[in-house]
Amino acid sequence: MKFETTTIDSVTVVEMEGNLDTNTSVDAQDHVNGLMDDGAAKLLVDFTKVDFVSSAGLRVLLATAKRLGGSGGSLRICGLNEAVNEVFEISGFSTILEVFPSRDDAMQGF
Amino acid sequence: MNRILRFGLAGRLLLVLFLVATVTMAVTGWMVFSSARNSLEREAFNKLRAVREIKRNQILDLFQTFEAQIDVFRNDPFIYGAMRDAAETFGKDRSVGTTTWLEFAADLDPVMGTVVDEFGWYDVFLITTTGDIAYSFVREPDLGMNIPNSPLAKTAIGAAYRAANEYLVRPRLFGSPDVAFGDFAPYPPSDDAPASFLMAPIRDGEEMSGFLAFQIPLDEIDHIMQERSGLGQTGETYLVGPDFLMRSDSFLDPDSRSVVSSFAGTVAENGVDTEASREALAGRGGEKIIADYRGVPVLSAFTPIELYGVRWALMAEIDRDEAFAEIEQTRRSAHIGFLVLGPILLLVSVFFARTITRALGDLVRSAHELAAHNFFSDDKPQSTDHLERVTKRTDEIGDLARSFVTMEQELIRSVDDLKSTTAVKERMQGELNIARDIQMSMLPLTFPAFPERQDFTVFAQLHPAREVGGDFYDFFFGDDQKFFLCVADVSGKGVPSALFMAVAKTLIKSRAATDFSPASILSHVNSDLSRNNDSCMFVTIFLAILDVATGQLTYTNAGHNPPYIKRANGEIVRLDNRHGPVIGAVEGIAYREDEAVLGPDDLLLMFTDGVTEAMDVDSALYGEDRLKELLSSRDFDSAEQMVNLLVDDVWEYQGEAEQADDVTVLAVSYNGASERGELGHLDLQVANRTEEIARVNQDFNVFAEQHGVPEGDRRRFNLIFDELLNNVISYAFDDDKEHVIDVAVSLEQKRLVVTIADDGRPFNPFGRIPPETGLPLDDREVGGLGLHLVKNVMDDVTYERLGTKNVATLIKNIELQVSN
Repeated sequence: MKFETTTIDSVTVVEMEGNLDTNTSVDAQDHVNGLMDDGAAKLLVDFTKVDFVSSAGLRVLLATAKRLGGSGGSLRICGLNEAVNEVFEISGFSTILEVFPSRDDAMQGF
Repeated sequence: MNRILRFGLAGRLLLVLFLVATVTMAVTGWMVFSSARNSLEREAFNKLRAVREIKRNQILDLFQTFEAQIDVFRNDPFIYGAMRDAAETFGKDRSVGTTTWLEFAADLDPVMGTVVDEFGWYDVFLITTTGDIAYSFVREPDLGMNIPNSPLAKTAIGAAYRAANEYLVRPRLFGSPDVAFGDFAPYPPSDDAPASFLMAPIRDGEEMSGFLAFQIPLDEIDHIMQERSGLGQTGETYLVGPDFLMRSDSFLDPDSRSVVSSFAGTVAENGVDTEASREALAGRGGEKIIADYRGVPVLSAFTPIELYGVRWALMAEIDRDEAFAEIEQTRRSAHIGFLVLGPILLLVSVFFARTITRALGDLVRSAHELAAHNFFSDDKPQSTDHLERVTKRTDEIGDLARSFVTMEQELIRSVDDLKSTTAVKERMQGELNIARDIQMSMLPLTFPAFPERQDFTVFAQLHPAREVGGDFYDFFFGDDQKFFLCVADVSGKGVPSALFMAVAKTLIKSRAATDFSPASILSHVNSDLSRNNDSCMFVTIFLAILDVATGQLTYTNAGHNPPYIKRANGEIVRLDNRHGPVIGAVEGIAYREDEAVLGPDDLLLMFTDGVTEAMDVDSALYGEDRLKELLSSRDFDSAEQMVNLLVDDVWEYQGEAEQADDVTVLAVSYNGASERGELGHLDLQVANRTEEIARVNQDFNVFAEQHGVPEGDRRRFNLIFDELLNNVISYAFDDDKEHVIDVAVSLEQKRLVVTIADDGRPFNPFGRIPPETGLPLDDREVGGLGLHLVKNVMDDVTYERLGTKNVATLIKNIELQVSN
């Protein structure tokens, strides 16, 4: 899994590529934790290039959202494909996480 | 109600009793009275008649005596001489004043005086042949008179003289006297006092020398007629002459109706002109109630009495009042009795009516109590006091009351019986319901039965006629391709059939595990069932094996209704080959089998005779024709529709009629080998390391892209591989050894089927309770979320533990993209 991280204004944007699954979730968690350790408070995860997200990936997002929420920051997610969106819907994550169709939408008012 | 009934019955009873009693009394009284009056009247008339006859005889005797006297005297030679002397002495001067006559008379008088005294005559005469009265003892002015040539001719003596002369010339019957009678008439010589005479010729040798006559004494006749024995207070007997004047003195009217006053007066005032006297004077005797000369009603017995050609009437009469005096007494007694008895009768009637109706009232009250009693409650009805009182009676009402008590006891007993039999029946019904549940649980009842399969669908309905039935059906896979189907009907119905059915079904299924020939299976099952089949039950069965890969149908029909195939083109095929008798009847039968092929969209219909032999209200059978008509006239989208339509049609046909037999229908819709065929297959062996998951997904993605699986579906399978394999790898194995997980991917026309098999510890990944997906962020846990996702992104997931393996099957319906 590849991570491309850019900072736009105060928002740290992480564009992931590949599958956020059992095997990659550890790397993803490490990467995001590193960003938060470096002080990233507004984090936008862009899933445009992510093929699918399994429950292991959801676990990463949940942990991240909790940590950011606890330190006054926040997590936004965008670019979900059909299958990923379905997983979000089924799991209820689409209601507990801030999900946006595109990166531009997510950046609005962040 | 009670009161009205009692009063109504009592009133009527009272009225009837009283009416019957009084009418009986009145009629009886009248009959007694009238019979008494009749007998009294008869009695009185008898008495009168007796008196009348006595008097009549006495009068006749008197006249016979007179006749005998005159007859003896006239034949005495003394009279011959006297007559000669009288004629001679009188004849000289035709005078009775001459000395010779006086001398003659003086000689004669003593003898004549003696005779007159002796015989009681009033006077005696000697009369010459020319009618001169030549001698009379009393010497009244008639002495010396010539009878025919004097006023005497018109008197009684004149009449006697004419008659005596007539007798002289008229031929007489032998023995008939030549004595002549002159009836009473006023007699001038006696100052017109009535007088009557007897006269007879004196025959001195051959010569008739004159006549001897005497005046009949009235007192002799009166003496007889006045004799009053048997005549009571008002009875009398008297004589009436043809002139309706008295011939004897009346007792009741002695002044006006003596013989003397009678001849001195008129018939109306002094005679007797009554109905009775007229009858008697007309020659007829009899007895009648008439008005007598006084106008008083009397019983009159009357008779004519003939005296020398003269007819008198002899009357014996008594006042009706006196004759019926006893009757009057009886009538008065009856009236008094009626007045006394009437109220007594009334009282007795009231009392009697009361005793009957009070008993009836008691019965009625008991009946009401009985009717109001609830026999299903446990308290028994007590026979009440008034009922007991009635049962002690010895009459019919007592009988009725006793039968009433018996009926009550019978009723209680019947209700008890009813309660216990109802309880038994309820228990049996309960057990039958359980039996039905057990029996139905032996049938595959879950539809769709094989939701993951697209190559065929199967559907069935079974409706027992009773709680439990003898029909059954079954279907199951013998292996991957061999699909067993059977429909059967055990002889009879009810519990015995159900038990036999269970045995038969079990034997077939256990045999089918290793034997894929219907003929062979039925041959073996038949032998097993026939052995020791003491109940002589049997089964008709159609058993078939459908090769779902090829559509080939191998079947054996053992005495069952032939099934139908409805081809996709609408053709109806009846599988009417038979391969042996019913099973369970005869041991050692070798059954045969036949084959047919089901093409795409063909429907196979199997059923029991409950369908074709369903009866409408007129007991007409449903029949094969109607079944065939239904099959050919309708298009069926599915096996389910076919079964439902057929069963509904049977119910509609049956209408209000009772279901006669179990109804079982089973249909298979075959979708065709070509559609079922696998488009692609991927088998992967995966080691129990998480890195292997990526390899599976990579291989699967290649496969999916090759076969045009849509991206979304591909990603869904990526997800489930990740979740399930991770699950297995992380948790299934208790050791650190390497295990192989078999992943099989099968792509069909319209779906993708994945099976994941591992040899880890038994675990059903789909049996877990789904996580709470609605909780807010901070409360969310992620345990179990993965399996929840799997279940939700797939169309069907199943888990089976086969041997030492957990096998998860995942199915997703897909639309393949056309690959170029």
